[in-house]
Amino acid sequence: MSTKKLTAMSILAAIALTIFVAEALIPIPAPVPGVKLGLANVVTLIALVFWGPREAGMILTVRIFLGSLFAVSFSSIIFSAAGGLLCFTAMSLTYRRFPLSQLWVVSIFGAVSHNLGQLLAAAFVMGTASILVYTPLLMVSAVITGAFTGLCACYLARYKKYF
Amino acid sequence: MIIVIMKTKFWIILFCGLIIASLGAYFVLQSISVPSVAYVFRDGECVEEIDLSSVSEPYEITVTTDDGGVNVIYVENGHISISSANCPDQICVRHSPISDGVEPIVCLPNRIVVQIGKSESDVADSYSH
Repeated sequence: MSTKKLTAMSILAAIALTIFVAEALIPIPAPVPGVKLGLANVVTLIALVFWGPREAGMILTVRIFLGSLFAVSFSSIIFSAAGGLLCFTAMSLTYRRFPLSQLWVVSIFGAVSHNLGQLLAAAFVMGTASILVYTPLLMVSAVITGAFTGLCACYLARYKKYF
Repeated sequence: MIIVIMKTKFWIILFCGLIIASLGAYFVLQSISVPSVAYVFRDGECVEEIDLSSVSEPYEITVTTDDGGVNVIYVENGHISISSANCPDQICVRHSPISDGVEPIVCLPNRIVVQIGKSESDVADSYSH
């Protein structure tokens, strides 16, 4: 791996971490637990488009691990990891099939899988399936936030030639 | 391997449809979930049994005791509360409406208890004396 690539990846990881921690401080007035803007997924998607699943996976792992250390509590790593894993899988499987202008669709797939992963992890941890009653609302939130972050990624993806 | 290339409009319609379907599912879930039945006890004896999830229009029930105590219970979909009473402390009236089996609304002077549970057996035992 070239130094240039390593540096670029590190910077993106730092950006993702900053976004993740800052976003955790924004309170969202929603009656549902787990609604978040998911802005850090912009970085994951960008990394996918610039380099590919392997590099994006590395950045994501760093972000999840360090993010759980810095932000809320270390135990939140379970939910973050579950959501992030499903999100990453969905996005890395689909990102190649879409033109750069339709990247927001990939982002919505990622956001939906992220919320599903978090819900399943929460149901598993709490030992009850009753939390799944929040699924419809979280799906709505996922589509909206996924579209938003995806649009951001669309604009940023134009700079692929510099990397 | 399926190659998915569609116009942007297709995806917009798809996700808007998903949002609408999810909102629909949410509202459906709201009305069918939580089979909460409220019980009203007077002197430890169950006098009313109300299925809160099948209440369409709010209404009131008046419960009277032998020594003149009066409690007016306000029943609405998913919630129950005491709207007025002639007891001196009015704690029962000031209590916010309950919708789950955690807290009961109690009127000690009139010996009235409003509690939510799944069946009478899991609620009545704590109040028999």
